[in-house]
Amino acid sequence: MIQKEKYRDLIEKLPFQQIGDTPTVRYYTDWKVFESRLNLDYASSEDKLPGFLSKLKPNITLGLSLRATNVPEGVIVEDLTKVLEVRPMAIAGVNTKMQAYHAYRWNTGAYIKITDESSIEDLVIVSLGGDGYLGHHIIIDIGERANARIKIIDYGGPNASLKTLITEMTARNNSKLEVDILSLYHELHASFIQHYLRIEDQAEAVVRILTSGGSMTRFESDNLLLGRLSKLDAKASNVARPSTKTDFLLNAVHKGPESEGFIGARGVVLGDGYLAQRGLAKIDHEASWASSEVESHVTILGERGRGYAVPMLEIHTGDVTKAGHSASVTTIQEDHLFYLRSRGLNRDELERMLITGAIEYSSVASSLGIDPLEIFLI
Amino acid sequence: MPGLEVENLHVRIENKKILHGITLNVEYGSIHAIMGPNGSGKSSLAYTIMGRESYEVEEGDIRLDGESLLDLPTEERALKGIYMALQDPPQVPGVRLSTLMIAAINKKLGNLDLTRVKDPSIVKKMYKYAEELNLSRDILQREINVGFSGGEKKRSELLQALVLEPKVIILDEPDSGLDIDGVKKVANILKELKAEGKAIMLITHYARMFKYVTPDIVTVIIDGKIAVQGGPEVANLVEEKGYAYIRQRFFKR
Ligand SMILES: Nc1ncnc2c1ncn2[C@@H]1O[C@H](COP(=O)(O)OP(=O)(O)OP(=O)(O)O)[C@@H](O)[C@H]1O
Ligand SMILES: [Mg+2]
Repeated sequence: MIQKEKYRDLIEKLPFQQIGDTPTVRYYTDWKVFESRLNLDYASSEDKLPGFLSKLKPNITLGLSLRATNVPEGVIVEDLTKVLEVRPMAIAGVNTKMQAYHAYRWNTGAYIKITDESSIEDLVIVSLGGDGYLGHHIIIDIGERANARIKIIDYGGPNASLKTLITEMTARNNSKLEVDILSLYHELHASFIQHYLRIEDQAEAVVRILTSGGSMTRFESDNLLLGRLSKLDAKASNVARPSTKTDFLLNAVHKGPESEGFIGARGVVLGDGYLAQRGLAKIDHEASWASSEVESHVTILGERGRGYAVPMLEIHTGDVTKAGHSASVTTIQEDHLFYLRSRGLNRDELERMLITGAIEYSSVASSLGIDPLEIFLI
Repeated sequence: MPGLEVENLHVRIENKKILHGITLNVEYGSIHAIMGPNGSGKSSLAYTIMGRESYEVEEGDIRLDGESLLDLPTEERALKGIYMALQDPPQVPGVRLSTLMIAAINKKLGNLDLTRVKDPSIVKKMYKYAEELNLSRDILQREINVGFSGGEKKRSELLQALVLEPKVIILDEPDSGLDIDGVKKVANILKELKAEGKAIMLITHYARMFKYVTPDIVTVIIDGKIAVQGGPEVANLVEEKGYAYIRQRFFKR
């Protein structure tokens, strides 16, 4: 409890964004949306997954409370408030106002342990928003030599409410993790989301992300390649629907020698939507012979849409195996349109192809068994 | 019936007049070469046939199988069977080359779902022709023209022509930037397409390709006008004497 009070003080003291978070000191997140909702009461009802996601069988659901059903063998699920030996935010750290807010207010938490050497085919975790504030904290510990495929469905319904979701994952030595994350929010919902992943010696992680944000969605995936020969392959698809704003960050920090990382993102902006698609690959001095690539492409389809692709590569060691980055922001220009029309396709069909192409990049839709364009059915 | 007919075509773009009364036919089972110096209006002619919006037809007509195309938008001209391989096609990040070809085929067949492959032989055909053109298989899975080399772009344009099976194929400098083996390859493919009965309009600066494939008709355009039209001997004349000579000889009054 003393801890909680400390977080409350930090909400006041900490800024929304650390200075030097971006070299341009630019604000890609509209923090005012969060500021105006910080005093929301806790939700009294939780949202329901939209029809096209109802065929998924959640094993663990976080909403007003925590529910676990049909948890596969090899997985231990506990209510995080009752687990004394783990400390939430230990990996994430509390450095910004929203982190402190989350640490102070989250209402439902799960501690998930994938036991050593177990093999988990499919673990579905669902986090639901509600008609007020909901905060979910999830700690996932993937044991040594374990093999786990996890799906995280993060959803917020049609209320002008607020959700915070922080996950802290650790892939222990020689484990293999495949995680698909779908973050889907209605136009009025605001959400602050951070996924932390620590990858230890010779562990391999495949991270797939599909986001389509709400009134303001700040989504951050922070991946730390901590161990020697650790591997990360992360791909994200971001769709900024009309009247939505998403600030998306996909980061890889290399500390492990000979670690290998790829982070890539494809985004599309529709109508007057907004998407900042950022990525930072950082190779620390101890990560000798690491290799890292970062890639970010955004296509703006709506005339009033705004999109940014901001990849960064920071290298603090003299010995790198490979390091590269590329980025682009494209609007549909007359020459694209003429080109595709000369193949018999019209503008609508071209737009549909670009949207589908961007969504399919991360393969989250196909691994959830949904049609790429179904995400518009919320 | 003659295939593609261009009659007394006058074209302007914004306030600049580019074509001044071009008349020519591209018949089925033949190759009609269009030659001319830089900026003479060769690409403009092709774009106008394809219906690109900025090219305004002031006078004249363009017909396919006797039917005027002037009122049709670009995509409908394509669906009627005209294909243009661009001189410098744009990059389209986010759409794979195979996705484009599958969509274009579905559209042509009238299938509403443009993404699914109804007939697997189409995929086989894509791979077969890619191999024939010395394009590596993975190019089909890459985003259209993103990071393609100059030669890969040209060959990908030709690949689409082979897969889409149009009636009229307009090739805007398919040979520039290709090595000699590439030029031979393209020439052989053109021969095959001609034998299949396609109407081919081949735009090129140089006669070097004609060593491997003989055009039926050669038209030289200079300053948006036809300077001379004839058989393969016209190409030889261009090659030997150059465009300055042609301009002198045929535009002298
Ligand atoms: N979009 C445009 N806006 C203005 N002028 C244009 C445009 N497109 C073409 N032109 C002009 O029209 C003329 C003909 O150009 P075109 O591209 O048709 O020539 P070309 O014969 O294909 O030349 P090249 O051999 O260099 O490809 C040129 O003077 C060119 O500058
Ligand atoms: Mg040209």
